[in-house]
Amino acid sequence: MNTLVKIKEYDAHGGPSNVKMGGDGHSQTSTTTGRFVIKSIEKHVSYGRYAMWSGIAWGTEVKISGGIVMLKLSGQWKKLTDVNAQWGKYKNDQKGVTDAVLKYQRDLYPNSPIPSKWLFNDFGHTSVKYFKDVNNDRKMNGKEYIMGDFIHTTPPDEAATAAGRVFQLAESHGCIHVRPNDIDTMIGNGYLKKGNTVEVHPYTKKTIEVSPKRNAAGMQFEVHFYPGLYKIAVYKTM
Amino acid sequence: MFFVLLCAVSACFAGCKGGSKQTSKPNNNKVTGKVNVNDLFLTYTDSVSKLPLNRFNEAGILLLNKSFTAKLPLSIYKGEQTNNDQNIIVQPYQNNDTATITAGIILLVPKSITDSLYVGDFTRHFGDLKKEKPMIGVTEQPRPVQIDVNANTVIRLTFNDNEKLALAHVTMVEVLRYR
Repeated sequence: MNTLVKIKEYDAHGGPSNVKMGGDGHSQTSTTTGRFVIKSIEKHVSYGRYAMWSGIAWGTEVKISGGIVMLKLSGQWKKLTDVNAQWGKYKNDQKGVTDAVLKYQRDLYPNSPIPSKWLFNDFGHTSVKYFKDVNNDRKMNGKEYIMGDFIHTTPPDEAATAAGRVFQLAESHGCIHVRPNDIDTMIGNGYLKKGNTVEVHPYTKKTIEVSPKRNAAGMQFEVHFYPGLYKIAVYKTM
Repeated sequence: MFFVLLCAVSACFAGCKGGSKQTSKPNNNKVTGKVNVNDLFLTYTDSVSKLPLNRFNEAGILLLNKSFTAKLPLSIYKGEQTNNDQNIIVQPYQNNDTATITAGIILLVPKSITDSLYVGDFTRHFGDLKKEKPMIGVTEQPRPVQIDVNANTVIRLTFNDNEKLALAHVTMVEVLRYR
């Protein structure tokens, strides 16, 4: 057993404490508690429910040419409506697609009303994905899988950060929302790193542990999320 | 027979009255407390929306806040943000010439107020939500909704997702001034 010493705290917001239905008929669930191992840190691309706005990686080059939204993918400019099946449903409504992209851009970035990069991915500029390490070998194998709860930012929070505006972290569908600058700091300082542990505490926990004891498995840092306190605590292992 | 009936009816009224007396006080307090905070916040939002454009700045906000200092926990954003569960953080900002929105004032609602502040409170006070063409596709977070206050002023509400929009908790209010 190792003693963990708390060295930092960051704001964070998970899902609701009890499952509830969202306005779009999609349920919001609580963030799953437990200890997890980070599998990857990457730009998330969705293929399911959010495959439209989140089906394109954050930062992909965008231009509007002849009233049509184009994306640069693998060095080639491609119509947005040719990127995936969901956008493809609108291939006969290029004006509608362009209007929607321009409106979203204006809403998020009023000072830059014409998009040059895709800044609409719901999972922000980077996502931290983790899995439940059932057999404790720190590798994702067997029936282990990446949890649906990522640590990530959101487009409105990214836009507010870029503009220097104040914002409130929003309740998620189960993921852990953090501030764009904070996720960069946590990654840059090695707190969030492939192989590191993420622990999600119960919602009922109302104090941040100062020096808990855990099997740190040789890792230098652990990140603990306290959903009932809207905080992430970073621990250094001793 | 009549006596038994009379006793039963009397007991019923006594019970109803007693029950009403027992429960009405906390309920009234709760309702009063909720209405007070919400009404004050809505009144403050109303006052912000009536500021002239040349007051969409820190000096304008500070002047306005003097009238609300004793009533609402207001603070001006000073560039460093942490989760604040107590204060309404206010930030005025100006956009550049390319933006259709000239200026805005953000009111960040603390969780303690968000818990009892609903989208429906704003529609009751300011009028119906602006009808907009539904957005193509689904986003993880619900898009903000807007209420037109007048030809140049809009209130934009950010809220936590909810099955019924009127019952969604408001987390941020922006008063936007269009060109």
